[in-house]
Amino acid sequence: MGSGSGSYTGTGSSSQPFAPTYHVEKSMRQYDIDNGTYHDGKYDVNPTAKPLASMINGNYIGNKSVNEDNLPYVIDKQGNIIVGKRNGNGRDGAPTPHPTLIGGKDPEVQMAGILKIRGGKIIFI
Amino acid sequence: MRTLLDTTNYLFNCDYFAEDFDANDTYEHYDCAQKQKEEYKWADVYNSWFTFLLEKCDTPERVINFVNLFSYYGGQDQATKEPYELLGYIFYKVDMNQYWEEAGSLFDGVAVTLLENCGKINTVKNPYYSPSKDPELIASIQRWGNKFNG
Repeated sequence: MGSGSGSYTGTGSSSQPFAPTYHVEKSMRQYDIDNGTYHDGKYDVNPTAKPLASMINGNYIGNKSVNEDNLPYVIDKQGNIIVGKRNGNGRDGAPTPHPTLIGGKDPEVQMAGILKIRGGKIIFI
Repeated sequence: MRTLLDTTNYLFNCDYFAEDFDANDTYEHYDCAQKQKEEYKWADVYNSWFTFLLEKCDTPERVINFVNLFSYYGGQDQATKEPYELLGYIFYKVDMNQYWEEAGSLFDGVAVTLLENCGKINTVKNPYYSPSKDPELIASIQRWGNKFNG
Protein backbone atom coordinates (compact mmCIF):
# COMPACT_ATOMS: atom_id res chain seq x y z
CA MET A 1 0.00 0.00 0.00
CA GLY A 2 1.10 3.55 -0.57
CA SER A 3 1.57 4.88 2.94
CA GLY A 4 1.96 8.57 2.28
CA SER A 5 3.82 8.00 -0.99
CA GLY A 6 0.94 9.38 -2.99
CA SER A 7 0.19 6.03 -4.64
CA TYR A 8 -2.39 3.44 -3.63
CA THR A 9 -2.40 -0.16 -4.64
CA GLY A 10 -5.63 -1.58 -3.23
CA THR A 11 -6.52 -1.88 0.40
CA GLY A 12 -7.85 -5.38 1.05
CA SER A 13 -9.32 -5.28 4.52
CA SER A 14 -7.35 -2.29 5.84
CA SER A 15 -7.69 1.40 5.16
CA GLN A 16 -4.98 3.58 3.65
CA PRO A 17 -3.10 5.85 6.01
CA PHE A 18 -4.18 9.46 5.46
CA ALA A 19 -2.25 11.54 2.97
CA PRO A 20 -3.23 14.72 1.08
CA THR A 21 -4.09 12.69 -2.03
CA TYR A 22 -3.29 9.36 -3.66
CA HIS A 23 -3.00 8.26 -7.25
CA VAL A 24 -3.07 4.69 -8.51
CA GLU A 25 0.39 3.14 -8.45
CA LYS A 26 1.78 2.16 -11.86
CA SER A 27 2.04 -1.54 -11.06
CA MET A 28 -1.57 -1.58 -9.90
CA ARG A 29 -2.68 0.27 -13.00
CA GLN A 30 -1.06 -2.39 -15.16
CA TYR A 31 -2.89 -5.00 -13.11
CA ASP A 32 -6.11 -3.09 -13.75
CA ILE A 33 -5.33 -2.92 -17.48
CA ASP A 34 -4.77 -6.66 -17.54
CA ASN A 35 -8.11 -7.21 -15.77
CA GLY A 36 -10.08 -4.91 -18.04
CA THR A 37 -10.95 -2.17 -15.57
CA TYR A 38 -8.60 0.42 -17.14
CA HIS A 39 -8.96 0.75 -20.90
CA ASP A 40 -8.99 3.43 -23.58
CA GLY A 41 -6.80 5.50 -21.30
CA LYS A 42 -9.15 5.62 -18.33
CA TYR A 43 -11.04 3.81 -15.62
CA ASP A 44 -14.73 3.25 -16.10
CA VAL A 45 -17.00 4.46 -13.33
CA ASN A 46 -18.57 1.83 -11.10
CA PRO A 47 -22.29 2.16 -11.96
CA THR A 48 -23.18 1.57 -8.30
CA ALA A 49 -20.86 4.35 -7.02
CA LYS A 50 -22.68 6.90 -4.85
CA PRO A 51 -22.02 9.20 -1.89
CA LEU A 52 -22.41 7.38 1.42
CA ALA A 53 -24.32 10.42 2.63
CA SER A 54 -27.06 9.66 0.12
CA MET A 55 -27.65 6.31 1.79
CA ILE A 56 -28.29 7.70 5.26
CA ASN A 57 -31.89 6.98 6.24
CA GLY A 58 -32.64 7.95 9.83
CA ASN A 59 -30.47 5.74 12.02
CA TYR A 60 -29.51 3.41 9.18
CA ILE A 61 -27.41 3.19 6.07
CA GLY A 62 -30.17 2.26 3.65
CA ASN A 63 -32.38 0.35 6.04
CA LYS A 64 -32.07 -2.06 8.96
CA SER A 65 -31.71 -5.03 6.60
CA VAL A 66 -28.62 -3.85 4.70
CA ASN A 67 -25.72 -6.30 4.97
CA GLU A 68 -22.66 -5.37 2.88
CA ASP A 69 -19.47 -6.97 4.05
CA ASN A 70 -16.98 -5.67 1.50
CA LEU A 71 -18.04 -2.27 0.32
CA PRO A 72 -15.09 -0.39 -1.22
CA TYR A 73 -15.01 3.31 -0.37
CA VAL A 74 -12.87 6.30 -1.22
CA ILE A 75 -12.79 9.85 0.07
CA ASP A 76 -12.62 12.14 -2.94
CA LYS A 77 -10.76 15.44 -3.14
CA GLN A 78 -13.87 17.29 -1.95
CA GLY A 79 -14.13 15.12 1.17
CA ASN A 80 -17.10 13.05 0.02
CA ILE A 81 -17.17 9.37 0.98
CA ILE A 82 -18.00 7.46 -2.18
CA VAL A 83 -19.02 3.80 -1.94
CA GLY A 84 -19.92 1.18 -4.51
CA LYS A 85 -20.42 -2.55 -4.78
CA ARG A 86 -17.37 -4.72 -5.30
CA ASN A 87 -19.08 -6.24 -8.35
CA GLY A 88 -20.62 -3.05 -9.63
CA ASN A 89 -21.01 -4.39 -13.16
CA GLY A 90 -22.93 -7.42 -12.03
CA ARG A 91 -22.00 -11.04 -11.81
CA ASP A 92 -20.30 -11.40 -15.19
CA GLY A 93 -19.24 -7.80 -15.74
CA ALA A 94 -15.80 -6.25 -15.43
CA PRO A 95 -14.61 -5.94 -11.82
CA THR A 96 -14.94 -2.58 -10.09
CA PRO A 97 -11.98 -1.95 -7.78
CA HIS A 98 -11.47 1.29 -5.84
CA PRO A 99 -10.30 3.51 -8.76
CA THR A 100 -13.63 2.96 -10.50
CA LEU A 101 -15.41 4.74 -7.66
CA ILE A 102 -14.01 7.92 -9.19
CA GLY A 103 -13.16 6.80 -12.71
CA GLY A 104 -11.30 8.72 -15.37
CA LYS A 105 -7.69 8.88 -16.48
CA ASP A 106 -6.00 9.40 -13.13
CA PRO A 107 -8.42 9.12 -10.21
CA GLU A 108 -7.20 10.94 -7.15
CA VAL A 109 -8.46 10.33 -3.62
CA GLN A 110 -7.65 11.32 -0.05
CA MET A 111 -8.26 7.89 1.35
CA ALA A 112 -9.53 4.43 0.39
CA GLY A 113 -10.67 1.34 2.25
CA ILE A 114 -13.41 -1.16 2.91
CA LEU A 115 -16.68 -0.66 4.80
CA LYS A 116 -18.72 -3.37 6.44
CA ILE A 117 -22.40 -2.67 7.00
CA ARG A 118 -24.55 -5.07 8.99
CA GLY A 119 -28.12 -4.54 10.00
CA GLY A 120 -27.89 -1.12 8.36
CA LYS A 121 -25.05 0.03 10.63
CA ILE A 122 -21.40 0.60 9.78
CA ILE A 123 -19.51 -1.90 11.93
CA PHE A 124 -16.06 -1.63 10.33
CA ILE A 125 -14.17 1.01 8.36
CA MET B 1 -31.15 -21.74 30.48
CA ARG B 2 -31.45 -22.28 26.75
CA THR B 3 -29.51 -25.05 25.13
CA LEU B 4 -27.21 -24.43 22.18
CA LEU B 5 -29.87 -25.85 19.88
CA ASP B 6 -32.69 -23.81 21.40
CA THR B 7 -30.72 -20.62 20.90
CA THR B 8 -29.82 -21.51 17.33
CA ASN B 9 -33.47 -22.15 16.54
CA TYR B 10 -34.40 -18.80 18.09
CA LEU B 11 -31.72 -17.02 16.09
CA PHE B 12 -32.55 -18.56 12.73
CA ASN B 13 -36.28 -19.40 12.91
CA CYS B 14 -37.13 -15.83 12.00
CA ASP B 15 -37.56 -13.59 9.01
CA TYR B 16 -34.60 -11.23 8.75
CA PHE B 17 -36.68 -8.83 6.71
CA ALA B 18 -39.67 -8.76 9.07
CA GLU B 19 -40.53 -5.26 10.20
CA ASP B 20 -40.25 -6.18 13.86
CA PHE B 21 -36.94 -8.08 13.58
CA ASP B 22 -34.47 -6.20 15.83
CA ALA B 23 -36.28 -3.00 14.89
CA ASN B 24 -35.89 0.54 16.22
CA ASP B 25 -32.33 0.02 17.43
CA THR B 26 -33.25 -2.98 19.56
CA TYR B 27 -30.84 -5.85 19.19
CA GLU B 28 -32.49 -8.83 20.87
CA HIS B 29 -31.44 -11.40 18.29
CA TYR B 30 -28.03 -9.84 17.73
CA ASP B 31 -27.27 -9.72 21.45
CA CYS B 32 -28.47 -13.29 21.84
CA ALA B 33 -26.08 -14.43 19.11
CA GLN B 34 -23.14 -12.70 20.73
CA LYS B 35 -24.05 -14.27 24.08
CA GLN B 36 -24.22 -17.71 22.47
CA LYS B 37 -20.75 -17.17 21.02
CA GLU B 38 -19.48 -16.27 24.48
CA GLU B 39 -21.10 -19.23 26.22
CA TYR B 40 -20.06 -21.95 23.78
CA LYS B 41 -16.96 -22.78 21.75
CA TRP B 42 -17.10 -21.19 18.32
CA ALA B 43 -16.73 -24.58 16.61
CA ASP B 44 -19.87 -25.81 18.38
CA VAL B 45 -21.81 -22.66 17.57
CA TYR B 46 -20.74 -22.77 13.92
CA ASN B 47 -21.68 -26.44 13.64
CA SER B 48 -25.07 -25.73 15.20
CA TRP B 49 -25.72 -22.90 12.76
CA PHE B 50 -24.52 -24.98 9.81
CA THR B 51 -26.73 -27.88 10.86
CA PHE B 52 -29.72 -25.54 10.94
CA LEU B 53 -28.85 -24.44 7.42
CA LEU B 54 -28.64 -28.02 6.17
CA GLU B 55 -31.77 -29.26 7.93
CA LYS B 56 -34.13 -26.30 7.73
CA CYS B 57 -33.16 -24.22 4.68
CA ASP B 58 -34.31 -26.13 1.65
CA THR B 59 -35.22 -23.31 -0.72
CA PRO B 60 -33.15 -20.46 -2.14
CA GLU B 61 -35.28 -17.96 -0.23
CA ARG B 62 -34.66 -19.71 3.08
CA VAL B 63 -30.94 -19.96 2.35
CA ILE B 64 -30.78 -16.24 1.55
CA ASN B 65 -32.62 -15.48 4.78
CA PHE B 66 -30.16 -17.68 6.66
CA VAL B 67 -27.14 -15.99 5.09
CA ASN B 68 -28.50 -12.57 5.98
CA LEU B 69 -28.91 -13.67 9.60
CA PHE B 70 -25.52 -15.39 9.58
CA SER B 71 -23.93 -12.17 8.34
CA TYR B 72 -25.86 -9.98 10.78
CA TYR B 73 -24.69 -12.15 13.68
CA GLY B 74 -21.09 -12.08 12.43
CA GLY B 75 -20.76 -15.76 11.54
CA GLN B 76 -18.04 -14.94 9.02
CA ASP B 77 -15.87 -13.09 11.52
CA GLN B 78 -14.18 -16.13 13.01
CA ALA B 79 -12.16 -18.84 11.32
CA THR B 80 -13.57 -22.28 10.81
CA LYS B 81 -11.89 -25.47 9.64
CA GLU B 82 -13.88 -26.05 6.47
CA PRO B 83 -15.27 -22.74 5.21
CA TYR B 84 -15.71 -24.06 1.69
CA GLU B 85 -18.21 -26.62 2.95
CA LEU B 86 -20.72 -23.99 4.06
CA LEU B 87 -19.94 -21.65 1.18
CA GLY B 88 -20.27 -24.44 -1.35
CA TYR B 89 -23.68 -25.32 0.06
CA ILE B 90 -25.11 -21.81 -0.07
CA PHE B 91 -23.81 -21.22 -3.60
CA TYR B 92 -25.16 -24.62 -4.63
CA LYS B 93 -28.62 -23.93 -3.25
CA VAL B 94 -28.94 -20.39 -4.63
CA ASP B 95 -28.50 -20.06 -8.38
CA MET B 96 -26.77 -16.74 -8.90
CA ASN B 97 -28.06 -16.60 -12.46
CA GLN B 98 -31.46 -16.02 -10.90
CA TYR B 99 -30.68 -14.44 -7.53
CA TRP B 100 -27.69 -12.20 -8.23
CA GLU B 101 -29.58 -8.93 -7.74
CA GLU B 102 -31.07 -10.12 -4.48
CA ALA B 103 -28.13 -11.93 -2.94
CA GLY B 104 -24.97 -11.63 -5.06
CA SER B 105 -23.33 -8.90 -3.06
CA LEU B 106 -24.36 -10.52 0.23
CA PHE B 107 -22.89 -13.90 -0.69
CA ASP B 108 -19.76 -12.31 -2.13
CA GLY B 109 -19.22 -10.34 1.06
CA VAL B 110 -19.73 -13.30 3.39
CA ALA B 111 -17.45 -15.50 1.27
CA VAL B 112 -14.63 -12.96 1.09
CA THR B 113 -14.73 -12.14 4.80
CA LEU B 114 -14.94 -15.78 5.90
CA LEU B 115 -12.19 -16.97 3.58
CA GLU B 116 -9.91 -14.09 4.60
CA ASN B 117 -10.44 -14.90 8.27
CA CYS B 118 -9.63 -18.53 7.53
CA GLY B 119 -6.43 -17.53 5.75
CA LYS B 120 -7.62 -18.98 2.46
CA ILE B 121 -7.49 -15.77 0.41
CA ASN B 122 -5.82 -12.37 0.58
CA THR B 123 -7.63 -9.55 -1.19
CA VAL B 124 -4.69 -7.20 -0.72
CA LYS B 125 -2.57 -9.48 -2.88
CA ASN B 126 -5.52 -10.37 -5.10
CA PRO B 127 -8.13 -7.59 -5.13
CA TYR B 128 -9.79 -9.28 -8.09
CA TYR B 129 -10.67 -12.41 -6.11
CA SER B 130 -14.08 -13.68 -7.14
CA PRO B 131 -15.90 -16.56 -5.40
CA SER B 132 -17.37 -17.59 -8.75
CA LYS B 133 -13.88 -18.28 -10.08
CA ASP B 134 -12.49 -19.91 -6.93
CA PRO B 135 -11.60 -23.53 -7.85
CA GLU B 136 -12.04 -24.75 -4.28
CA LEU B 137 -15.49 -23.21 -4.07
CA ILE B 138 -16.44 -24.58 -7.47
CA ALA B 139 -15.31 -28.03 -6.35
CA SER B 140 -17.36 -27.75 -3.15
CA ILE B 141 -20.46 -26.74 -5.12
CA GLN B 142 -19.96 -29.77 -7.33
CA ARG B 143 -19.61 -32.05 -4.32
CA TRP B 144 -22.92 -30.79 -2.94
CA GLY B 145 -24.50 -31.28 -6.34
CA ASN B 146 -23.22 -34.87 -6.50
CA LYS B 147 -24.48 -35.51 -2.99
CA PHE B 148 -28.00 -34.33 -3.72
CA ASN B 149 -28.27 -35.61 -7.25
CA GLY B 150 -26.63 -38.97 -6.63
